[in-house]
This record gives sequence, C-alpha cells and structure tokens, in this order.
Amino acid sequence: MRGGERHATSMLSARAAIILLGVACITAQTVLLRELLVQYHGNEFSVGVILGNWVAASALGAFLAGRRTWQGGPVHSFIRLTFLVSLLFPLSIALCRTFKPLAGIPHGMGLTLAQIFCSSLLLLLPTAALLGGQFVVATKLYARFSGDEERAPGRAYALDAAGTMAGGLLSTSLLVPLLSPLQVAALLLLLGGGCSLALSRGVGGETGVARVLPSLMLLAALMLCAGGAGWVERMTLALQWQGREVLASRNSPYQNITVLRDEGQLTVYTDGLPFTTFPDPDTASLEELAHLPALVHPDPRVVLLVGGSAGGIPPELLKHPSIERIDCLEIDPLLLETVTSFGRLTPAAGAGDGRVRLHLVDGRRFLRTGDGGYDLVLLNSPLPLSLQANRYFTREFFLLVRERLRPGGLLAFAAPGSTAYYSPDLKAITATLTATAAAVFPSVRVIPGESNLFLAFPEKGVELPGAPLLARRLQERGIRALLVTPEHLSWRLDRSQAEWFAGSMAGARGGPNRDFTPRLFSADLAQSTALLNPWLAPLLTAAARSGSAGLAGVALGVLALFSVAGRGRSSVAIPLLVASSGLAAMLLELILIMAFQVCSGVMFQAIALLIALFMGGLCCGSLVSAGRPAADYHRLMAGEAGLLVLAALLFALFSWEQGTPVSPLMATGVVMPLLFAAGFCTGMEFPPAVRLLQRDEDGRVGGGVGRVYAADLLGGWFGGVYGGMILPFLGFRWSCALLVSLKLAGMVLLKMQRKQGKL
Amino acid sequence: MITRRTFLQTLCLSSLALKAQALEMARDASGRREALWYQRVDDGRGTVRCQLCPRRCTIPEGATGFCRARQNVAGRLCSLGYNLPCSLNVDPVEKKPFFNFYPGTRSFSLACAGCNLRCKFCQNWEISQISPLQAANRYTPTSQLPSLARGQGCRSIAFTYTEPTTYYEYMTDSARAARKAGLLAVYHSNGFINPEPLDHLCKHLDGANIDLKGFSEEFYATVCEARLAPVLESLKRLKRGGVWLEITNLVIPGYNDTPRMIGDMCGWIRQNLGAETPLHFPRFFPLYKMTAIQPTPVKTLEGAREIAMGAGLKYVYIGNVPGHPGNSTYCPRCRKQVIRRSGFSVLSVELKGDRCRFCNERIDGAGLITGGTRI
Ligand code: SF4
Repeated sequence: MRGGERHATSMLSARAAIILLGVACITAQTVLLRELLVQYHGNEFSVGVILGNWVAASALGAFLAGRRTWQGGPVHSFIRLTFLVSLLFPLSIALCRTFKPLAGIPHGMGLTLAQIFCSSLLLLLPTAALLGGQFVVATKLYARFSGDEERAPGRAYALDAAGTMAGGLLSTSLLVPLLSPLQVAALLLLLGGGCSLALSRGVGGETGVARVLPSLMLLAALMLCAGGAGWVERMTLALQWQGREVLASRNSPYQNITVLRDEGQLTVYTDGLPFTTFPDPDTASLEELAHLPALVHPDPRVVLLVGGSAGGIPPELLKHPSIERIDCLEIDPLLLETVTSFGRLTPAAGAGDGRVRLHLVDGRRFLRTGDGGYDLVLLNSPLPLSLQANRYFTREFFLLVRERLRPGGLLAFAAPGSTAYYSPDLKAITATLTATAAAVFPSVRVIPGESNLFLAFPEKGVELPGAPLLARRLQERGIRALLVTPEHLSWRLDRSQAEWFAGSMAGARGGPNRDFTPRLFSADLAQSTALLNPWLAPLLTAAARSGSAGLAGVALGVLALFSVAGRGRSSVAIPLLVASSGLAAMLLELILIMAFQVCSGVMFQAIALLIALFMGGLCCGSLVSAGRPAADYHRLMAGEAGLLVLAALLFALFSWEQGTPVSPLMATGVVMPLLFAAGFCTGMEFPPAVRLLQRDEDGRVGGGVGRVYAADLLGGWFGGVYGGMILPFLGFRWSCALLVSLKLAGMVLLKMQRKQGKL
Repeated sequence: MITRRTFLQTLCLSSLALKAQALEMARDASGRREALWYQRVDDGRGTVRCQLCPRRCTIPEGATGFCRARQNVAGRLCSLGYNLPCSLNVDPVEKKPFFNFYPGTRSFSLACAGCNLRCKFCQNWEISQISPLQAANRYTPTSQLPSLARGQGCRSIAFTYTEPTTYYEYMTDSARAARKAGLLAVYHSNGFINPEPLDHLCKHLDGANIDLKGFSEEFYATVCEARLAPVLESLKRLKRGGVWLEITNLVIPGYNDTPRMIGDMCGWIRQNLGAETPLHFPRFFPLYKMTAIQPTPVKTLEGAREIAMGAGLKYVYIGNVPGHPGNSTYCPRCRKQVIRRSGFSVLSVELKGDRCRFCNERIDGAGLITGGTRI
C-alpha cells in the first residue's frame, strides 16, 4: 500500500474507531443501567445515581488518561484499552447480577441509598473509566493522523457524539430488544476488535494485544451465534436469583421481565419486583378493586381498566352480569405476552370472552383519541415511583377520565392505607390523592382500610351506598367471591373505620398532583426513601419545603462562587464553566425527556430518538464552533446565553401550566426542538473551552481535553444525581430557575475573564 | 361559718391539689413514666440497665434503649409512651389473629411506637421503627380505654401493631383497667421479653398471640436482629401462666419455609405447648425491606399446614388467602367445619356451646360459647 493510501485508510479507521467508541459508550451504559435497575428494583433515585456514577467514572478515566504518558503511542494504547473494555464489560454484566450474593446481601432485600451508590460506582467504574480514558486517547489518535492538534479535540468530540447518537438509536431499537446483554457485549467486542486490527495494520506492526484480539473475537463470535452467550446468561441468572428456577428473563422497551417458578407458583417480576403471581394472585387487592366500585354502581355496563389487566381483574368484573364490555389498556405488549405464554388468562384470552378488549396503548392517548363513555374507570396502577406512572394520577389525567364518564359513572383506584397509623408521608400521599380527585370530581369518597379505595363521581353530593345495599347487589348479581362477602362489606364500610380514618387524616393538607408539579410522586418517593434511608427523609423534605427562598440562597452562592472564579486563572474558571454546562445539559436533557413523557407517554419508545436529538445538537454545536479560534469567547458566551434562554423558556412553560391536559403535539412541536437546542448550546462550548485551556497550558492537547472532558462529565454527574434525587422534590419549575441563575453566573464569569484579558 | 383563716387554708390547699393534679396530668401527657424492670449501674454517671427484654440495654443518661421507647432521664429509666398511644382503632379479633378466642368479636386495638426487634418484613414499620417522641400520639389515659372500647362494641382490648413489651407499664395498667371493666386483655407480641416481667404480665392477660418468626437462631439473627431461645421460653411461660395462646408463623419464601424447619417447630409446639395451641401460617406479601420476595406459594402454606397437623396440632390455619379452607376451624375429631371464615370474616358457626355440633367434641379455645356475635 502506498503511503497516501495508507494514511487515508488509517484516517478512516481512526474515525470509525472514535464513532464506535461513542456507540460502545452509550450501549454499555444502557446495558449496565438496565442490569442495575433490576438489582435496585427500578428505583427512580437509582437512575440518577447510576447515570451520575457513570459520568463520574468516565471523568476519572479521562482525567487519568490526560495526565498519563502513553507507551507505544496512541494507536497501541487505544487497542490496549479496547481489549480491556472488551474483557471487563461482560465481566461487569456478570458482576451486576451476582454482587448481592457475593456481598452477602440476603435475597429479596431492598438496598439503601449508600449501598446503591457504592455498588453502582464499583460496578460501573471499570467499564466507564476505561471508555472515558479511551476518548482522550482517541483525540490523540485523531491528532496524530490528521496532523491538526488544535482542531482534533473538537472533531473527535463530534465523531464521538455522532457515535453516541447512532448507538442510542441502535441500542434502543435493535440491540437491547433483540440481543441479550452478553450478546451485546460480544457484538461490541467484535466491532471494537475489527476496528483495532485495522488501526494496527495502518501503523504497521502488531502489538501483543493485537495478536490476541482475533482469538478473543472468535470467542465473541461463538458467544453471539453458537449459544455460548445463552449458557453464560443462564448461569449468571441462576446466581442472580440465588438458585430459584428462572423460566424466562426478557427485556422489553419498558422493563426487565423475569418469570420464576416455586412450588407450582409462577411469579412475574418486573425490574426485579414481583408484579403478579398465579395461579393464586393477591385475591384481596384484586377482588376489592373489581367488586367494590362495580357494586357501588347500580348498573355497570362499560368498564375501562387502565393497567394490570393480566393480574386477574377482568374475570372478577365479568361476574357482574350487566357488564357488556371491558376495555383493557396495557402499555407493554411483552409483559402481556410473557404472562400469556405461561398460561395465565389475559383479558384478550379472557376465557375466550368477547366482552374483553385489549388495547396496547398509553392510557392518556386512548382517552384522548377514543370515543364512547364508561360507567366505571378502574385505575389499576401502583402508586407512582416514576414520572411515567405519575401521569395516571394527575389532575390532567382525571380531567380526561371525567370527560369519558357516563352519567352516574365513577373513577376508582386503590392506594396504600393503614388501620393502625397515618405517618406524615402516608398522610401526604392520601391528602394529595384526595385533593387531586377533588380538583376534578365534585364528590370524592374513600373506603378506608389497609388499602384505601378512592371513588370519584362527576356529580355533586354523591354518597356511598351502605353495606346492606351493596350486599344485596352482591346477592342479586349472583356473585361468588372469596373475600368480598356481605360480612366483609359490612366490616369494610363500618362506621368505626370511616371515623378513624377521618380522625387520622384531620389537618392533613395536600395540593393536587399535576403533570409538571408531581406532588404525589414526590410524596411516594419520600416514603420509599424514608423506609430504607431514614436519615435522608428530613433532607428531602427540607429541599421540598425550601422553595423559592432556599433557591435564592443557592443562586446567590453560585453567583458568588463564579465571581470569585472569574477573577482567577482560566485553568480553574474554564473547567468550572464547562462543569456548570455539563450539569445544565444533563438536567435540561432529563427535564425535557420527562416533559416529553408527560406530554406523550411514549418516552421509552422514543428514548433513542430523544437522545439522538440531544446528541445531534451536541454534535452540530461542536462542529459549528470547531473552527475560527478567534471567536472562542463569543462562542462560549452564545452557548451560555442559549442555555439560559432555554431554562427561562422552560420555567415560563411550567409556570404557565393551567391544569388542562397538555397536547401531545407539544412533545414533537416543542420538546424535541428544545432537546436539539439544548444539545447545540452545550456542544458549542466544548471546542472553544478546550482551545482556551490549551492556550493557557501551552499546547498540551491531551491535558486540555482531559480536563475539559472530566469537568463536563463531573457536571453531568452532578446533574444526574440532582435529576434523580432533588428534581422530584424541587419540581421542574424551580430546577429551571436554578439553571437560569447558574448560567447567569457563567456569563458573569466569562465577562470577568474577558475584562482581565484572560480570554 | 367559715373563717377567713379557714378560707385561706382551703384556698391554699385546693390550689395545691389542683397544681398537683395539673402536674400529674402534665406528667401523664408527657408520656414519661418511670419504668419497671431496670437497675442503676454503679458508674457514678447515672447509667441504667433495662431488664425488660433480653437485650438488657445499658443506657447512659439522656439516651434511649434499642427499642427507642425507654429513655434514661436523669438516672431514671422512663417508659416514653405511657398514656400516649399512636394507634387506636377497632379490629375484628380475627385480625390479631385470634381464631379460637371469642370469634366474631371486636377488639379495641392500640399501640405505642417502638419495637425491640428489627424485622425486615415489618408490616407496621412506620410506628415500630420510631420512638414515641417522634410519633403523632393521642393522649389516652388508661382510665378512658374501657369506655372507648365499649363505645365501639368491643369485647377486648388488644395491644398490637408494634411491640407491646416496649410500653409494658401502659399495657399492664390498661389491661388491669380493662379487666376491671369486664373487658378482656390480649396482646400480639414477638415474645422477646425476660421471664420475670412476663410472669408478672401473665396475671393481666387473657390471650396472647406470639409471632414465632422462624425456627432457627440464624433466621432470628439475620432477619430480626434477635434470638430464638428467649421467644421459646416466653411461649412456655405464657402457657404455664394460663393465658390463651395462639402462634403466628409468617412463611417467607426462601427464609423460613423448609419442611424441616416447619416440622421441627411444630414438633416443639406439640411437645411444649400442647396440641390444642392454634398455629397460623399467613401468606407473605412483599413488605418493608423485603420488597423483592414473591408471595408465599399457597402450596407451601398447605404443605406447612399438613406438616403441623401431622405433628398432632389440632388447629392450624392459613392466613392472607381469603376463601381458602385453611381459614376455617375444624373439629379435631370429625374434621367438620365448625367455624367458617373467609379472611377475617366469620361466615357461620356450627358450635353448641364450645362443642362441635356434629360430634360433640370439645373445641379448645376461649369464649367460644359467647362467640358468634357477627361483626
Ligand atoms: S425493652 Fe427496650 S430498652 Fe429495655 S432492654 Fe429491651 S430494647 Fe432495651
């Protein structure tokens, strides 16, 4: 091969390697996140912590790589790192599944936040740090082949972002749904290995690692195609579930679904938590939710069941002879398919009953687009521990329900109650639910108990029928239930219970739960947090209560800090600015993704597109500001101003929320462009920041990149942790206000640096 | 005629009396009452040692014991929940659960915050894992309890939800007041109490349901941070003390559900407490810190019931599975259903007095004659 051709091939391989690095980063992150989520039982807190720890570990890797002098040049270093990632990534997957028994944590036990924090950091560290370090080496690689040290970081960043964008799309739409996590790891190894070999040929001469790569790739190919991954998969799953019989473990776009068998009982787990059990389900909950509202209605004919239709409610409802149709809404087809495949009657099968219709659609979308009215709307969803679930308990959702209720119809849902004590958290949850229903329905009644049953009526002054009337209806309709008997009804509606409930709830106040003010989600999260981390509860409550005053304090503190940094050296000021942008970017991305979810409910399907939009913005932003070093200050200023305007816009948007359901068009018309814009503004800042730092540090390319990358990721880490831990309590609006102040402080910092002639 | 002097004297005395009464009320309402069963440690710093439960906490001044319900106030150990229950509600007695004890009656149930165990599956963790100082309490002197219970049509007062041992003084005084008013006193406890206080308590109780959480020291150590041996000792003492005794063994998959462990437990009950001791096997549902454990398979519960009956126990129940035949009471001789239940509801009673209506066999229990009042 002639020298020119060789150079062109090497340049191509370098580009491909950096793009692939982006793909590997996002894919590994997604796979490990999902693995850990199952271990942490889908806890919303843990998402922020996991993402935060991922970026922290990447930052550490980038930082260390930036300081290190690499033996044998960037190509061989890059290959060595690829080799290490290829080995450690699948090992991390296996460790994610087995760390609980290895650490002596008894099975089935929830983890404290400290345990979640430490375990996720340790489990993510090897993969994330190596990938972070690899990015720094990749910029050197690019610089070597392109011969343009100045522009190399920006270009490498753009290529990496393009890879992340492609990887986001690829992993969400293809890799994660179609392949098992270990197969994904094997595929990445094959691709990374191929790229590394091409690189190594490009520079001539193979290192020791490059010689081992083909054998490793062969092993990966076997894992991928010849069932090797399946064997390892089964082995690690058996360890994960500590010896219990695992019948299936699948990933849907929404969750991990695992089926276990024990003594003939099948339990379906979603994200590591029991979802439903058969052939003996939780009779008490499902009979009460099915029969009590149906008995309260004198003649229920058409019923809408939102969620949980695989749990056995439709067959109970069908015992009421007047029921002509049950529309069941389910969002996850794989969950239903799994339950069906193990012999559980689903509504679609519904014992072959044509009265039951299944709709695989989001509840809000169904209510908005469908027609026809309902006598009963049963909301069969656990209380929200995610914003997605929160969408079914908001004033906006209840408004949609009210519009579809026929005269005399009612909405019913159950929530945890108590017959012993109402803790402040439980009071807050109950009061919020009552206030939300009361904001839409003139009559709201609660049948209190271990599980509180809420009944909301669109007419004024509706009182609950007494136990004798319900018992008579039970008999007249010829219903034979296990728990709901005349005796049970008379106890459930006993005056003493209603009085006790009223006494326990006396003085409890709660505002309505709304789409962008998720009070219920916060209260529920506070309760589940207090359960495992009693020490954290007061802090979170304080954060929730601090409101505008607390925020003003934080904003002033940030301004003071940035003012001081603005007077200091660029080597401190610029990374601080980049870190604040990393934080703002991560938080804006999270807020916008959540807003998309609130508007449309199809976040999980669209997540790849959303990430891609953000990354696309990032990529375009960094490309736009990759050239013309003379305009660096203005580019940075424009990036800061852009982020500030975005945060202010969102603040205005969330403040303007009027309580009417937001249009799904907002998701595509407003949220998507804003995601791109957020990425664009952030991307604009990276190349000028690197150049400014390089100038300050006298041209050490790697060091500058490493520090900027590390600062960006550290900011992102904080943004992730904030998004998981504080955002739900502080709310969208005030978080946006905080971002406005942060970016204002960033602009002040830049101005001060400029004044002192440092920029 | 009253002289000025007598008038002033009376005024002084009555104001003093009023003050004393007010002080007494304030003392009552503070929830602090000097505890029984403790010793002063001779360290010159006012440390005390609580002797109420097998933890025997050594408590420095100002600190509280492991249960968070007993505090060293200036060298005196005080019970913190006295007169200050955080829970007061009416339940069917079956919910405690008592199945052979006044079936179909209501029980006025109360609790003060605190517990001397740390079970990872606690149902009432929101009150058992805090101190009475942190809970929202309702001032309820012992003297008020009987009328409150009667007003709600209750036959008994039950100390339940949390661990009654931790509010021992309030419990014994309330039980005394209840019995004086013709009510029954029952408690649901973990049985983790020292022998002397328990013997004293037996004098005031009519019924006890004790959680026998598992039948191994390892289970108690890892899941409850406690020991099994003292619980077994308590069971024997309650039986000897003439208290009607029922036992609850929550079956948790993967933890305490091996046939061998269940068999050993049933054998021990049969041998030490008698075949007439009712044993309840409730179904576990994910709870508190054990959220990722599946509900107990009904077959496991049925297996446990068979083992228990095979060991000779006469009354073995399955709980938390409404409508299961194991909810009901059967005559130990003719095996016919004598009390039919679904969940906590008594659906029908086939007893003549305390005897089986079909074969005239005596059914063990208390209050079966007066039972059958529908709830
Ligand atoms: S009752 Fe409480 S203070 Fe007393 S020994 Fe037991 S745990 Fe310690």
